[in-house]
Order: sequence, then structure tokens, then C-alpha cells
Amino acid sequence: MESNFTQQIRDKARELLENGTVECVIGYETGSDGSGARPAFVYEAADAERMVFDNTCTHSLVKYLLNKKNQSVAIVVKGCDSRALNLLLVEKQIERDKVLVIGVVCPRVVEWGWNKRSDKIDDRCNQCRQHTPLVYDFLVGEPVDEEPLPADYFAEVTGMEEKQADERLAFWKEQTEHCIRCYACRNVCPGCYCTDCFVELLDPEWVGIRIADKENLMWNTIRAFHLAGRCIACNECERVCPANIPLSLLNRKLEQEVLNLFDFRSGMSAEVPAPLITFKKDEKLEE
Amino acid sequence: MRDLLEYMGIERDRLGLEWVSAAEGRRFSDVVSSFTEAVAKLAPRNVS
Repeated sequence: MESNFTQQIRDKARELLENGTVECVIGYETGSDGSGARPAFVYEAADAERMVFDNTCTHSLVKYLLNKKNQSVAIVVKGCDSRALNLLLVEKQIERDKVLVIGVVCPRVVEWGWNKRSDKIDDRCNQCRQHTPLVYDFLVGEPVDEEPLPADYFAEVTGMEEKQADERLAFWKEQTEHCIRCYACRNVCPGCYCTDCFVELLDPEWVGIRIADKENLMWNTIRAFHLAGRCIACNECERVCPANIPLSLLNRKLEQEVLNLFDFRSGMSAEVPAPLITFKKDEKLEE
Repeated sequence: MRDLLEYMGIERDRLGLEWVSAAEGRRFSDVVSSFTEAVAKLAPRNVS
């Protein structure tokens, strides 16, 4: 099946580049050590042969579109990536007619293994209910029926809420203590595209640049908060974190709040406006 | 935001949001005074 996916993507990419529909196709190719896929930018029809698709195609490529705003681009997206695409469309960061979406029905990716190929399906893919892309112009694979969210989707959040306040603070202090402030979580996040991030501003200095407990806790709290109602739950932040901070436990909490308050899940549509950037005359602040 | 703070083990009352016009100097002073008083009454939270 996967080799078939690869072939379909190559054929489509070649066709699009040959007839000049797009200037660039963003997809995947095999990394230099052969252990897994890496992002690929293909500009020539002959180079379409480089492209691959297999279960190591973990990365979301959607964020690269922000660097190619003035070009016509085709991009390979999986189900989760399509939610990122919707997020950027809702927030008017990209234009739909400039992007040709090659959707891939996701076969589930494996855990990321540095220099070696892992066989273990990534945990987040077992929870995923969006294998078929929500938005595409050309689809690779057969659409699958999506199941509803598992009943225990927020179980870890509930578990955390049941703890005492002191325990919770102790837990988050311990977790964020390991943060090396590499900002990989931010850099990989499709929602974190501000050219000037608050964490690097010195005037005003929102968060001290010192890598220490207080500052780390501050950074991780605000990072999560800036994604309230925007996080598409792809869990890429947690995957790339070198300190293994359970960032999804923060993101899930906000996801739950937004779901309960606004009945909204980010990235599910390019038309439904996001609740936190929408003002309704009749809405009231409730305590 | 308050819910997130609470989730992380920090009292929700440590965060306040009030609407004060630039013309309401008196009210601004009252809001800040009562808020700082309220926070001072909470047990100290050592986050570092």
C-alpha cells in the first residue's frame, strides 16, 4: 500500500511540475541515513522520483507554506496536518487557491527513532480520529470512516484535576525544570508563527531569558495559553521536546475547556471562525 | 487562563481582569489596591 502511495504522489508531483501548475511540491524523501523520511522540496519534474511516503512521514509540512506565501505550491498532508492547514486558513495566514493539497489517508506513523527505524505505532496515532484529510484537492488512498473521540480522551486531564493543588504545582515544577528552552515546541507548532515571539522580546521583557524554574514554568504556561482554542492536538510539540515534558497534558486541558465552552475543535473546518477571535454582541462574561 | 493556572496548581484568584477606562483614575487605584490586598492574603506560593 505504501509503495503505491509513493507512486501516486510521485506521479501527481511530476504532472503538476511538468504542466507548470505549481512551482514547488513539498513532500517527503528518505533521509540521508536511510532511517526515515525527511521533508523534501521538489522544484523539477525529474526530482519527483525522490519523493516517498511511508509510516516514518511524521513531520507536519504545513508550516513551510508560511515561507512560500507568494508561490503556487503543492503540499502533501496527512489527516492531522489537514487540521493545521485549516487553522492557517481560518487565521488568514495562507490563501487556499495558492495551495494545491495532495491529501494522504494516513496509515498511522511510527514513533520517531533517531538514526533507526522504529516499528512502534505512535501513541497519538492510536487516539487519532482524523486519518482522512479534511481538506484536499487530490486524495491518495481510500477515505476511512472516522470513529468518535474515545471516551477516555480527557482521562489524563481528569486525573490531573483530581490531585491536590500543591501536588499539581509540584508536578509542573518538576516537569518544566528539565526544559532547556530550545523552543522546539514552538518552532514545530503550526499555530506558533508569530515573527516576534513574546519569549524573545526584551522590551517589554515578558519572560526572563534565564533558564531556571520560574522562567521555565512561565514560558510553558504562556506557550500553552497562546494556543487555547487554536491547538489542533497534533502533539508535535511533545514529540520534539528533548526534555520529554508532557506538553499535551497542558494542551488537552485547554482543548477540553474550549470544547465545553464553545463546542469547538480547532482545525476541523476552514469556515467556522475560531471562538477566541470572534466577538458576538450578545455574549457575556460569566464568573 | 484562570482554569489553566488552577490546573497547574496556582490559585485562580492570583489573576484578575478588569475593565478600566483611562478617565477612571480613582477606579484604577481601587482595583489595584483591592487586588494586591487580596493576593497578599493568599498563602505565599513558591514557584522557584
